Amino acid sequence: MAGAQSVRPHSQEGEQTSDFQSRPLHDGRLWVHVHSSKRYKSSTLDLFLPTVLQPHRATGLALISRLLERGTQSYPSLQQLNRHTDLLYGARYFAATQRHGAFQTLRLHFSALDDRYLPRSEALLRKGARLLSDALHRPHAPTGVFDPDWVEQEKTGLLNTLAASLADRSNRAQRRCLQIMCASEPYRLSADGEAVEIKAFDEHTLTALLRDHLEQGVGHLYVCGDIDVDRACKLGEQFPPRSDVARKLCVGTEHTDRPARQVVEFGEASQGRLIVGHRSGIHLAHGDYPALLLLNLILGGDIYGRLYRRVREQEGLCYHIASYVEPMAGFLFVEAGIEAIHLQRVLNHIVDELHTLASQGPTSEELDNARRISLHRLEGAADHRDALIHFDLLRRLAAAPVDRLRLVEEVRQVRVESVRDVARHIVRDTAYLLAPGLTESAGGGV
Amino acid sequence: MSTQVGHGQQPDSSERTHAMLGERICHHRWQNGVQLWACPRPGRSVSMHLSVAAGALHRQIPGIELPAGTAHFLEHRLFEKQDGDLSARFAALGADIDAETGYTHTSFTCAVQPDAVDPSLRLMARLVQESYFPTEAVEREREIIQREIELYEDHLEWVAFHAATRALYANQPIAEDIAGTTQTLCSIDAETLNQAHTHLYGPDRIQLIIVGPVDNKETLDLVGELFGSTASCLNTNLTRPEPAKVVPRRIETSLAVSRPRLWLGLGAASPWDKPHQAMQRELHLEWVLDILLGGASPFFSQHYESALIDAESFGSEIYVDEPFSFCLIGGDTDDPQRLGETLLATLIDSQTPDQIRADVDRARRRAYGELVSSFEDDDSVREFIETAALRSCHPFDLVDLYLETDAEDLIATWDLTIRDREAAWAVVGPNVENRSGD
Repeated sequence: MAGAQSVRPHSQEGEQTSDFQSRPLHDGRLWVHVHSSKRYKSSTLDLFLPTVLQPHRATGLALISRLLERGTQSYPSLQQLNRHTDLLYGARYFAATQRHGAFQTLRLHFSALDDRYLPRSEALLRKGARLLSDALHRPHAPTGVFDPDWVEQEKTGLLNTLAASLADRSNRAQRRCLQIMCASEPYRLSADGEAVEIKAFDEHTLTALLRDHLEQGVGHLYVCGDIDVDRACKLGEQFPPRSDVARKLCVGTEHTDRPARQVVEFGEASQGRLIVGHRSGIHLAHGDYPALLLLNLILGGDIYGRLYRRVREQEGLCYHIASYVEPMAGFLFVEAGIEAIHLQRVLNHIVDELHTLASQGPTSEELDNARRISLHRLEGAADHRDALIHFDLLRRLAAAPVDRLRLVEEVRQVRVESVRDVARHIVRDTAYLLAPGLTESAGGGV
Repeated sequence: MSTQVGHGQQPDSSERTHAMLGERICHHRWQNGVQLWACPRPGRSVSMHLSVAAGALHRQIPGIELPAGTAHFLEHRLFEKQDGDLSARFAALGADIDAETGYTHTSFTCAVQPDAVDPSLRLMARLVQESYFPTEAVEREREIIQREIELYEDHLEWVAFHAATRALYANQPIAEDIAGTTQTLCSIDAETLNQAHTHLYGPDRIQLIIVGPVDNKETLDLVGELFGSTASCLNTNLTRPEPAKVVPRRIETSLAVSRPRLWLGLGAASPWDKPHQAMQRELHLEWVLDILLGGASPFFSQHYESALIDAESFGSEIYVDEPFSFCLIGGDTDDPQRLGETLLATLIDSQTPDQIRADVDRARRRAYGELVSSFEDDDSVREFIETAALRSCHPFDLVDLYLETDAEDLIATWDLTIRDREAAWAVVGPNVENRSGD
């Protein structure tokens, strides 16, 4: 099974989906996507600069995002920057690296109240665009490179952040399962970087990396609020172009015939954390993706899913069990908090339910229920601009020719047989258990 | 139409529009005590929230002392009825349903498409009004809750919060886990649940908040039909939680995490008996802590740069409710002792009034932005209404509190709740010996 996604250059005329009007700027090197709505009391700017997750680079970008949050040439300290945004009536600014499937995006966000809620016109969104542009192109770099003190502070900060993240047992189990499952794929990497790589960076390498990142690929600026496309594009003009439009980002999932793996690692934990990773080969751009969405809900998407009913309610083996889909790779994960002695029983239940779905399909009632929940969520997403942005960016990175309302229509068409057929494509790859035990294990027993 | 609501009095019915926010909130209280807050606004989903004044601190009901964890156990068992599990019926409506138990309330939240409001609300009424606790199901639920307790035993946020409440309120109900313990779970049976349901789920303890594309008249009629006519014959005063008494001490708890987490706890008597004061206390504390420790403060910059604090975990939480009033301040740090001492020195600094006066305009602008943003999506509108409604305030009165607050109000709150207060210390982390110093 394999899936492949690529970021393709868009046409130059612009496009319109159910949620966004999009226009290219700078010869298609920056796309401005506008969701015009008076529903909100604030407007938002979200700039995404994506790249495929890569070792070393991912860590560097994570460090850069922290530095961009510290200040700019105009606001050269954390206190000055925070005071500036507070005085913009509690405007919110952040920079972060985020994961979208096999991609890492450097994201800069700004949100602020609309003028109609202020005592006088302040044009906060224009000030926000300036802030984001300055953060990227005029960062605090007193000698032409990032401030070395800041770099050292952020290296320590990122080390602490990564350590805290892995101390969360559920995060750690999810991370380890992906690392084992996707040992040679970008999916194994975290958008937050790797602790062991932090030491290698200094102010010079990070400054060069930011410059390089700004010159790669296509950027996406999402503007949401009471604003029209022309005004939004004017804001976008504040961002100098990325230079290499022809570069194509392309990733795929691994072809694999290897047998399913079962890995148990030990650590200090009050309860075992189980993550079972499956491959389906059905990602967002695939015609069967709507059926995969519904299969997930039927299996373990919510409290009425089969696994919840069987493993928790009937067997009392856990408090938490749920499944979720990674849309860009077509992975299906099941996660649960269990006693280690129940591992095999829980795995058997998961296998059994998937086999039943593959042989008999869901009941009509199950399918109808899952469809209603899915439609409610997809249609309700129209009220949440963060959800709209997330979905639109995912579909662009996945080169999926489906927008939200088309997906709604496709979910309406899913039949029992489609879910059954999708269940036949689900193959377990890795079952990972972080089990309570005195021995901390980095490698893992099988 | 706008009807002014006087402080401390709720009329039986009101409809108020806030011109600046452009929002309308309708409130109705039926004779049996059930209250509805409806905020009609455009959208594709309706958020319905049912709150019952039945929380972990409601331990005394006539004739019985409820074991710790009873309210939470009850919340778990309410979905199953004699004719089957209501979860499946919510699913058939495409509804997302969730439930949560806190110290003073249990809440059920349902998000649903507009055309499913009627049947979903009927299910929510059944959820809280019908009791059905077969012994076998109660036994099975005990196992599930035991798993839930275990799941949270290594969850840093929860362990640290629990350590902080133990450090503030030694050996009192608030210091016990909301879900109870293995021992207390064993003493909760079907009869306990029946008793608790009878006394804690009366109509005078129920508030409904509905936000989204709904018709106010239709909603009022439907809620009236489902909730407004049920009889209320129990005396709510018999089931009030005891006020928690602040007894600060130091608690150290071992947990395998990367760095210690420090919470300093500052408690005070709850101002619940005076209308609007709980809201004022919470609001003023937020501003004071923003000025003294927030992102734009000298404290934050200095100690972020020295790595004593980090941006991800450092912050404060404020809890003001009928039986308690406290705030927690802290975060992850390599040196909890130094962080605690530095925090205390900053919090009680004699220059604080001057700092508040100098920075109040920035804090006001920031708070104003957060206030208006609270009315952007249905869930945050619902949370805003709940915050006010559970404190016997009209939500728009809370808006006015924001606009009327000045530096002297903040200084008075600082003086009353922070200055000269003895702090409780809770340290959770690696290489920490379990210790609860009295």
